Amino acid sequence: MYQYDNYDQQVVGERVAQFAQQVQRYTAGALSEDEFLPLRLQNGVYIQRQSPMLRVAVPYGMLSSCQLRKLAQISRRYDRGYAHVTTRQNLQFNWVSLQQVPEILRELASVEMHSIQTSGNCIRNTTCDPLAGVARDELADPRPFCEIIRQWSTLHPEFAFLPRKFKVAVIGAVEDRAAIQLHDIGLQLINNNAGEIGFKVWVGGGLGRTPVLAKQLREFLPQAQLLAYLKAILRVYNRYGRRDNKYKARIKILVNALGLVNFSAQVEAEFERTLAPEYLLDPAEVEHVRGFFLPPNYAVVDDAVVEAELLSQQRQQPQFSRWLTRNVQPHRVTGYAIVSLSLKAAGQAPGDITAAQFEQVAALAERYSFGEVRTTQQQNLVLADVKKSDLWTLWQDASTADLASPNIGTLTDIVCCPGGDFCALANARSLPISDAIQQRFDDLDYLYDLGDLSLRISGCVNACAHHHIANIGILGVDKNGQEFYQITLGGKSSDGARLGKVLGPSLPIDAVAGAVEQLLQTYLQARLDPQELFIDTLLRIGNQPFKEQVYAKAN
Amino acid sequence: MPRLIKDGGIIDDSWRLISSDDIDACQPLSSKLILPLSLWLRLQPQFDGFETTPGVWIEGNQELDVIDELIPHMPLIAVRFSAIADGSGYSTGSLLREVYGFGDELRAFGSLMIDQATYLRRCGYNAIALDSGQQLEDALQLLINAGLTYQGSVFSPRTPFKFRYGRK
Repeated sequence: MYQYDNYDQQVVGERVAQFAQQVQRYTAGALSEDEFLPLRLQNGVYIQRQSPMLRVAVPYGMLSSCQLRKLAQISRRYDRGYAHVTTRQNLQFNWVSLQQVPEILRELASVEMHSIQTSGNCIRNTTCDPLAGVARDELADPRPFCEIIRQWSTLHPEFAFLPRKFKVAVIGAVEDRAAIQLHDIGLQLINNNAGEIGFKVWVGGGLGRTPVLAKQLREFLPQAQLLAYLKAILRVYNRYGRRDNKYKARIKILVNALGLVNFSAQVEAEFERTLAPEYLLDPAEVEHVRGFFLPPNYAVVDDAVVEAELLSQQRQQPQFSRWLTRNVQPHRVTGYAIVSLSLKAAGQAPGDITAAQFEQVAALAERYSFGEVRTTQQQNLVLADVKKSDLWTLWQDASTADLASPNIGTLTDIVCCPGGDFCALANARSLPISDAIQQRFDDLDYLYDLGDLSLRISGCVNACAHHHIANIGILGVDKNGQEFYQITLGGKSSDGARLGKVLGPSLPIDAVAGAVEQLLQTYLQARLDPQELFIDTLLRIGNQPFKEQVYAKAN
Repeated sequence: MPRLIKDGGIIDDSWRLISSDDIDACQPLSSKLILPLSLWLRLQPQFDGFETTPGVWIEGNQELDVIDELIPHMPLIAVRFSAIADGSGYSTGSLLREVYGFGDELRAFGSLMIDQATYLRRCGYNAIALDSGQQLEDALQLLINAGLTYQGSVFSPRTPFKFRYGRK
């Protein structure tokens, strides 16, 4: 993974010192609440219901064992012994004190981490395919470009006070595992007819109050022009994006208002007139960054022997077999596998990870996966380079750490924001809903029979849990001071991303898990065979049968 | 006389900024005024005998193509920042330098705070007028002690690794 040089270390160090000084001025009354607001947000500090929250950047989801141990230490010393993995691959500490934030930032800087631009109206953490570098369908590793974008966007003088937040995602594979069409800018590495590498560029996606799928802006952008083109898009947005209404301020609104053709013409004109050699990436520069993401030293493995061994282990232990089915994916290198560590154990808030688990994951990564781990948009962790011959012992170790729930991609792999229990923006709590669903559907056979199914819960229209792209989305709303929940059906996140549609009137809190059960029963009754997934049945028969079932019951 | 930051120092502001479109407020007309764009355009015929025209101020989101012929003749362009969070002026400043080749005083004024000084300078502003209550000395210190950047400035832009590859 990327390693800081002295330059990076100094940039981050200076930023920590600057924020320490800003906190001091705020505490001394020299900065008003309004003045301090953008400064603290650009350092990831939110004021939550009960305590400030610090969002820490995990650039494109990559973490080392050394960083995990530091996170464990920070969560114990400054928080309540745990943290939360977000849907943008970052981490949140929910119980920090503002006065201690500079100290936490110093600790983070000591392991090459920071919280720069994890909130505020600026360019946020660049997200990426969690299987980057190891997926079988990958054309080129997106991470070198993510790192280049990370640096380019960090403290960019022109784009620190945009109309609204701005999110970029990059993939290098055929399957979109980073939901690029739900980002302000989505980039997909592709080859052109001449075999040169570049990007397909998407613009104007996003969730929130007005969910929109991004539109294709450029068929092919040569890699050298990446930063020049990003600058052109951002500049058009910064000049013409709306600032009078925060709900109309994202780039998606500008793209829709101008129309794609007109928006594209403006971007291309801006790009043409400012395309100077200084903005072009030199091939040697890209090569330098690529050097940080070279494949590790894989062992040569006799796959037949390993497969035979795995078969016998599966026979011995059906639970291991389940885990293999749900939590292990094929790797591009023979003899290796990609393992998901589930942060969705029963009774656990989705995406939460304890200090002890940070340390356990650090040890697992060191022992089984070259000392690296990735966070995912689904709020789980991935060990990307595990020898198949190690899967049996890894499963046992992960089970001990409560990280081996065999539920990846199933109903209980719930994606959930912190909701009204923590977040000051939320209209309703999301965690009790998640808990109720996990409790009601704890039968693994039933979950497996349901197959791949995504369920996401957001506590308000800001849609941090991305409920619009779930097969079953649940959105907390406020009805005269009461918590109610609106259900959307039919969202999809990967290839052919699709936004869900509202099923009907919102439901009270104690009716939600029951409604989910009605949805599942409708599916089980209607599916053509067990291979037809929930989403496919839904798309075939439409929302109506689901609606009838849920509201017949509710009435 | 009000003071401001210019070219790395704190100096007396020899210009008078006319904040409204009130013609009476800018009498006697002189070349040391900074006029709002609409007023500047109205009074333009009266600048004939002047050695240099008055300066002009524009909003952060001003469309620049409509004034592109005037830009090279301006002795000073001031850009108003309507709110701390309104960053349109950073792009406007960058465009004035990068695309329109404006070479004279480019001044930021309005709702600004000292913590924005380094961003402003990197977007081409060589003069920063802060609201009362903001400390010019503190802003100057921030400029003097400004740290490393990944982008350089509009005057000397660069890619992040420009001087760093080839020597890990």
